[in-house]
Amino acid sequence: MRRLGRAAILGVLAAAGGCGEAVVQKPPSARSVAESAAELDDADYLLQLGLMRGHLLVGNALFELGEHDAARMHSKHPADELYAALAPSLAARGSAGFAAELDAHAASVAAGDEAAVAQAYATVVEAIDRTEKIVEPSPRLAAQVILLLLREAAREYAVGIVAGKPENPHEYQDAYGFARVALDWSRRSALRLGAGDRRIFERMADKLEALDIMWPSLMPPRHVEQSAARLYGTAADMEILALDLGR
Amino acid sequence: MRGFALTFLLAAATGVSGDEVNVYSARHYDTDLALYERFTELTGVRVNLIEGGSDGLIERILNEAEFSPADVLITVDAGRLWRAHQQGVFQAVESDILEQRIPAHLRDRSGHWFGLSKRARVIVYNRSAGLPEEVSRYEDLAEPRLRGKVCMRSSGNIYNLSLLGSLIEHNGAAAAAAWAKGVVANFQRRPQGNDTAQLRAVAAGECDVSIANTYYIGRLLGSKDAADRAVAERLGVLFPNQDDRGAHVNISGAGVVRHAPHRDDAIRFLEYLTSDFAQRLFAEGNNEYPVAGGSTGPIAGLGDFKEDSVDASVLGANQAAAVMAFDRAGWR
Repeated sequence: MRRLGRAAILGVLAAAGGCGEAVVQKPPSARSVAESAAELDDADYLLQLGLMRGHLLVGNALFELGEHDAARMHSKHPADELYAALAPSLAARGSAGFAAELDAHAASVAAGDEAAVAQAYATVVEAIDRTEKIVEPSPRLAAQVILLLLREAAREYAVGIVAGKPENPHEYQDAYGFARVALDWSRRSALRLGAGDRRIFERMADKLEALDIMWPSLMPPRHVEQSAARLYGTAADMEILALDLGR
Repeated sequence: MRGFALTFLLAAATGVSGDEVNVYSARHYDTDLALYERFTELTGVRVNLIEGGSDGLIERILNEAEFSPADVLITVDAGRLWRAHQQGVFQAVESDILEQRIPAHLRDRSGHWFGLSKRARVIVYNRSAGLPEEVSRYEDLAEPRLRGKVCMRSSGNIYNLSLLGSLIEHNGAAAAAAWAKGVVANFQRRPQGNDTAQLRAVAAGECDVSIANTYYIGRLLGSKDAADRAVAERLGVLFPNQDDRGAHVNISGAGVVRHAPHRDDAIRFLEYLTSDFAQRLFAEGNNEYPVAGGSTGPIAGLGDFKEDSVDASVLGANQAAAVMAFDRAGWR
């Protein structure tokens, strides 16, 4: 039997319903995507970095497509809405952070010079790489980051596309960025692991690649055939695949 | 019972698929692990268990829609099962085994969900103070002679909603609303805490009488903590309405999810959960009564009782009216 421990879904699932329904007992044999509170903290740390990567990734893609206004929005998002909350976690891990790189990148996108944007993008991604490497992720932690990123992508997509109509292109694009970062996590994890766990991350990557149909273009068309359900369902698939990690 | 166990084993032996079944469960008990592992031993079907809160799991399944890997949802309370069915979480299944093993009033008649264990909602009183005079029915808790003597948990709790749903069914909406108002008038304190908090309050003499699900009493009786057992020893338990319809019972239950990718194995899994072996573990995991077979564990000591056989679906169907009645009564 494969079981995902309750700790793994802390902060992911909605709170329990009737308080009498369950006494939470985590059996010693239960395996969790996240084994400890420390890893849960790391999961959030890596998630926040992943979200920033996602914003920057989609912003860069939009800039390259000539969608400079949309790119400007995404390039500002990490500094405006995410970085401040992450600062204590960066400090706790002895990281110098990358605020200057984020600002420089956003400024370059605002200025619109292609070469400068490419350089600033490479620099900020490199800074995030360094910041991310402070944490050595276990396979379960990596799987949890993938799961969290994909669930966030699903939530954003649900806001972005409502009944096939693009109600909020920005959220639709965010979802693309987060899903791509989740794919990157699965590919990178597959590369550094032994055969058993590698196959699991390869299967995750296959499922994540199949999500490309969710975004027929970066600027959403008038009608989108897909719904967030596919993202939610794929996230659940990730969760089930992760049950086999370490077997 | 024996015949069923043999039938299931034979079916399992000829139907090993090496497949898997994805179970979303709001239950979290050690005994469940042995329960699921045994299913795998019997059938070769692996159980992938995703745990969460009831409402969270329902929301997940709805969000995942046709892409959900969920095959089975296990949750508690008939009201919640009914609500999940209304939201389109389940699909109808036909199974002679499920129909034979589970009493008709403890399952959805159209096969969308099935009760797998049950709990009674009983009246508790302080044993040393004795049962207040002329209390033998839920209805008595609203009598003016109990003014200032009753403790209750909040009305938002689904167990109270289901209890009031049963009163609406038996006595009518107006009488049920009057009952809620009468109980509120008898409150010793504002509703607070869960069922265990009510049990502790009664044991401590803070109030004379309350109601609680039997498994809360079972937990205290079977607790490793002597202080918990002492609380249980100070309590008297009355199964209400034994001279008429019987005590209100509710269920833990499950259904096959609407888009289950492993539908056949999901049905086999539910059928397995009604086997003698599984029933014992499923019920003991939370000090509940099995839907098939006799009770075991601490609650067996509470004795046999007559249970209300109102259709469990009614508890859900009357939920909205129950919410309104509680609200109008000022039962927060």
